[in-house]
Amino acid sequence: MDLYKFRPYYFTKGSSNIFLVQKTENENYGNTLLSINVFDSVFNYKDAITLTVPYINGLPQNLQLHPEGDDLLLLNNTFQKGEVAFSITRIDASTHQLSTKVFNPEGLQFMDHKLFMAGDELILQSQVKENGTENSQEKFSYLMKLNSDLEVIQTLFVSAEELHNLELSGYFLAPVLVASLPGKNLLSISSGIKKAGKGRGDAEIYQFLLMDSNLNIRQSYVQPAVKGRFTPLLTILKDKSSYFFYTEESRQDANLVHKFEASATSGTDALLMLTPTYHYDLGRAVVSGPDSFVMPYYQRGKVGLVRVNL
Amino acid sequence: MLRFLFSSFLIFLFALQTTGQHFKYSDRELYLGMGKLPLVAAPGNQFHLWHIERYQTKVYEFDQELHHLDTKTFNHPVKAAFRSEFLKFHSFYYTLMSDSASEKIIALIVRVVLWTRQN
Repeated sequence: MDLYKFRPYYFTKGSSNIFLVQKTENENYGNTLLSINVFDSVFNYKDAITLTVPYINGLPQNLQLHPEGDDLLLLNNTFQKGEVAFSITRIDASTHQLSTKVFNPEGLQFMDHKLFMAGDELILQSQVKENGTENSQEKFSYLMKLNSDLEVIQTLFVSAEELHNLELSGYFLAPVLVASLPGKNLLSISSGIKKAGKGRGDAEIYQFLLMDSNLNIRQSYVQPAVKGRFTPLLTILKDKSSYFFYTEESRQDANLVHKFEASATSGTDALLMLTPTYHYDLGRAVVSGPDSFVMPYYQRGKVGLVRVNL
Repeated sequence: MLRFLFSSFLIFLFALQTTGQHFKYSDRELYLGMGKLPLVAAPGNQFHLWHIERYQTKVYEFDQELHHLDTKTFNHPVKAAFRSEFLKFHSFYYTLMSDSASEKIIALIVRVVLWTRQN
């Protein structure tokens, strides 16, 4: 086999198992080789699992692996009756048993996903388009709620028309985040990129969808975003709100930290009044209590820690 | 009178800096000459700041108030193109310092349980 020498790998963990995941692209055979080494929680080697995932239309897929308990869930596309369908494969790390469920609801093609575990259930937030519309620019948001046997319990198709929000019709929506809210409610955030835009740097919006546990929409609102900067790096749930923190580059080696509060009815954006000449490393922040977090910052070779209370 | 007004203005600025926008913060400035350092929320309500270098690794421990508690040093070499990952369990975490420059992946694994300061 003609394998790329560059082999990205990463470690991840389940409840007690540790997984070393390696992904190798094999262009000649048109597939991706997934090699998963399994260790117990004290790093005793247990087993190895190897999987090949075929390319779709000659291209590697955006594969995702999610630990669930001590199993792994593989999210990828596959072909079913000549159409591209979405599949989730549960990989049992102890028995090597694979169980695959293929989804092809309403002839949709799944393009980008976020998976969220809500207790025993899974919420999949996807960007989809209609199958057979390769040249079509129409992309939508689609949510699926699945039980632990990967059976579909609820679905929700989100479009500008269904939300009666024409403001959204000029944007592609891509999944950003699904989070729990108090009272078993769910919050789904999608980013909206202008359909007629020129790409990076265009004004963006964020669409917030508040739902009950059965994916019934309780509230939907749209928030303008700082250009291309809203990637929530930290989430804190408190009382009836979710707080998302993201950074905005201000100038070289410095950035600003924003706090976005999403409540049941609205979202408010606030700039944290930290030192504007420091570079705050929000990506390395850790939650330090129910309402605070600690993050490193850098300035001219100095390293500091800052604790931020909500 | 002017001095009083100026002092009041300074106090106002300070209050805005530390309590504005519905939040408060406190910080500790630490060391010189370091790159970006990974931070871990460790067992025992501690924070561990990892400074991994080619031949030496230092771990700076802090409490909830960001008071420096202790510094641990390991003299174990890691390869230049190493990567670091942290796997958190309930009462401990692993720090994995690994590289794949050769055919094999070589990982230096540090298991971190609650550290307490030796008095």
